[in-house]
Amino acid sequence: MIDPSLQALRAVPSIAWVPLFILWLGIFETSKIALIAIGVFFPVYLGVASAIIGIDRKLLEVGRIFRLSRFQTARRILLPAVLPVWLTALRAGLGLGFMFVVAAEIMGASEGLGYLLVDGQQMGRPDQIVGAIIAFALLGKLADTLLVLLTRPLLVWQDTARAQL
Amino acid sequence: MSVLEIKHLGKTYSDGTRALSDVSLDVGAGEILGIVGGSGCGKTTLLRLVAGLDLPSEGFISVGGERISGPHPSVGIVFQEPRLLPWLTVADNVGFGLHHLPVAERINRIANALERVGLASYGKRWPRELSGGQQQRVAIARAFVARPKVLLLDEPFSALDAFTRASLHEHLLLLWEQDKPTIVMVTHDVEESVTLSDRVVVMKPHPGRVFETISVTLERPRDHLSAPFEKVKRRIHATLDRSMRPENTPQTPRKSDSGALWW
Repeated sequence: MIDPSLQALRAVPSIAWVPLFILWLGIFETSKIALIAIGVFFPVYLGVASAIIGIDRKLLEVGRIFRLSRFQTARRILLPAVLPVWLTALRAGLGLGFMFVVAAEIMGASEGLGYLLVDGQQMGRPDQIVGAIIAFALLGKLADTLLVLLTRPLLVWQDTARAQL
Repeated sequence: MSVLEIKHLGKTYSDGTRALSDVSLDVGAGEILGIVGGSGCGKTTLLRLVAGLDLPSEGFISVGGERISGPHPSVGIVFQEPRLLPWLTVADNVGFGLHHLPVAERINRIANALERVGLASYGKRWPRELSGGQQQRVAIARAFVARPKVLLLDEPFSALDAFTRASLHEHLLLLWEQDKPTIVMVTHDVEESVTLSDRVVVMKPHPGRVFETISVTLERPRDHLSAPFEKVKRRIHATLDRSMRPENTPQTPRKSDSGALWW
């Protein structure tokens, strides 16, 4: 029941929420955070949902044999099984997050990297734009590396040809 | 006294396939029952019903006097594949069904079972680091530690080579000697059924039903090369041969050892 409603919400382009968020939450940080949250949520949700659908029936049967409750099945089989996909979805979400930072700041901000981009364009200062772009690249890479490092211990059990690309 | 009682069991799948028809079996405490039969004779269906993973269309199953209506604590199963959880270490996999027990007891049982399957030093390894035979041993240990009264084995050794299989038979008997659970083992390997079973049930396909039951009274450990072993093996082959023949063909006279040509 939850899923069809979420799918309908997902069909709304995230940027379409901006005017509403600005009306409700003001033009400052809160509305931007809301936009980023909603923009990142759906791709991650979709990734995890498809992983849950694709979970191996054979492993679920092991849970049934040992008479796990629904909650125990979720915690002891479902969650660990979808963890790798979930973390990959989080990484994709993190990248997407930066996109929404720019989108939010271009639409109205007085500071931040996104503001520097717009400001650079209006002031005719390509150096400022390139500087902001490089800052995004560095920040994005740093955030991604941190996420990978922090979650690597959770995935040591994986039987993959290589630990990373 | 029979521990596992199967009465007039029938199973028709929702697509109309009749997988089992009027199967009745009594299996005693500590008995090892082998089930052989051609493909489509409902061997796996029978095990899934006893395990409570599927529900029968007719008849009933009871274990220790209790009707089976879903997975039961006294019934364990080892599948055709190891089905280990890749995110748990070997020891945690073995202890997967023991979460209700105190930690000390759990550790004890896990160590004991791992030792009996010859993997005492592998507790901290990941499943991916184990060979197929070792993984299947972990799966067998996982089923045994829960101390089931009835243990079901669904062709657990079919994917393994002959040497690995022989050593797994020994490990299985070692574990069995501990609490002597009733074992029901489906196999397509006649030699395996003679090596392990006290009784061998030959099933007939379309729909699956019991064709004949053959007792194996040889002393353990069993010598694969002895004449009595060969004799039982031939008898099972011959019975299998007959079980696969369409019902209305006239019986052609054959020599009693014709089963040896079965392969």
